[in-house]
Amino acid sequence: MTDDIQRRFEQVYAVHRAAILGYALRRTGSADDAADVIAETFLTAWRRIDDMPTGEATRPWLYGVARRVLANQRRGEQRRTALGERLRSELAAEPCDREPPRGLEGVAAAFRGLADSDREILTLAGWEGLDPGQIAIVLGCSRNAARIRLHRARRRFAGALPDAKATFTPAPIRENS
Amino acid sequence: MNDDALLSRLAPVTDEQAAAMVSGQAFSELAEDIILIEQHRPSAIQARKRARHDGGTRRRHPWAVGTAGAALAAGAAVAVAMIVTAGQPAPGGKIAPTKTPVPRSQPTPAGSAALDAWTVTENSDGTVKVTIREMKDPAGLQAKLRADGVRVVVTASLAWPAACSEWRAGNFRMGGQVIQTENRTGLPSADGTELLIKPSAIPAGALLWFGIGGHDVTRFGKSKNLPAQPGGVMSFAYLTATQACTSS
Repeated sequence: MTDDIQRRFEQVYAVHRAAILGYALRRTGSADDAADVIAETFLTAWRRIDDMPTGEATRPWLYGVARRVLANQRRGEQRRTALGERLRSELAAEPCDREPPRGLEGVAAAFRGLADSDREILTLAGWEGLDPGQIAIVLGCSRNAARIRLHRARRRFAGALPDAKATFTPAPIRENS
Repeated sequence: MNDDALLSRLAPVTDEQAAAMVSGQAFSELAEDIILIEQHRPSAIQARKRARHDGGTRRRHPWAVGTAGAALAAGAAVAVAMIVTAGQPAPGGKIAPTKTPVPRSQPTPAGSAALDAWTVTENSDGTVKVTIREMKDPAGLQAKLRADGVRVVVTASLAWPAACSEWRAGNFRMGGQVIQTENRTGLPSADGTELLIKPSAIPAGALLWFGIGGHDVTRFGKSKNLPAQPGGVMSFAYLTATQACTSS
């Protein structure tokens, strides 16, 4: 049984590690923070593997764990972990250009001006490609609540864009499942 | 352009770029550490004791033959750049027949008249597909791959030959350009362990090493290699292409 559990963890790790690292790097400019996020996320996954959903729900569940690790970091409650020293050092050696692409400075400024909650749900849709059902898993809310929050955040983002009519077409709310 | 498309352009990094920032070895070391930490928690130790007590010896499910306990290599002696579990034997312990058409090399393991331990197939795009059902005759597989232009070292264990050393002392990134599992996810294939190797992407001065072996952890940070077996763990790394290593 122990072998089966470990095998499942290895498979989940192999499939989702890049996505969780990407999630962390997109939200923190710190290599240390990103290394801690992936380490703590998968340590939690390993310890709670019986709670981890299978199939398409696995990744949103991992995003939800990573989200909580990030929140702890922002509250200053996150201890530095000794896990993943090599990963940490390799990340530290990589510059991560966070400047917005040329021509999108205004869009980036509009985005930065949104509330944290709006930015979070918009990035879950736009960066992670999640639909409301998957976002609900990440945020721990109902699918309907996620739909409403996403709709409202998109509307506020559209209103904040510098040239809304020229650049913005509301994205339909997708349902992957 | 809709808002999702706009936002995607603002993303500081994509998943692919993130993955390229970290070597497979660093990823694997993290997984090893996570598993080892948990294995040494009191609750985990108790669970293992109960499992041993229940089964007398380590129990294995037919589909998990060869995972052999702790599946990730630990310690400096084993560099794991990417981890996959090898293929699943068919029910009854027989290896499932291959669907690979016209393999160019078909070594037949002793005791098997119909099934090949491994096959090597050259693809039109320059990649080489290796399907391993049993890690028998690694020297023969290595010779076949080298004959096909793949600078490779193959072992039936999770350790590279003693005469070899890690290329650039481990300071490299393999990414997914050189070697990857057929299904690109790391999940095992029903037809065995299937690898795609891109020979032209192996750096000058390096040899691509891969090995399959059983593995167990004796205590934190220490490991021992077990005999290779189907379903074992696969490890990859680059080795320095010295004369001694090449001829080992």
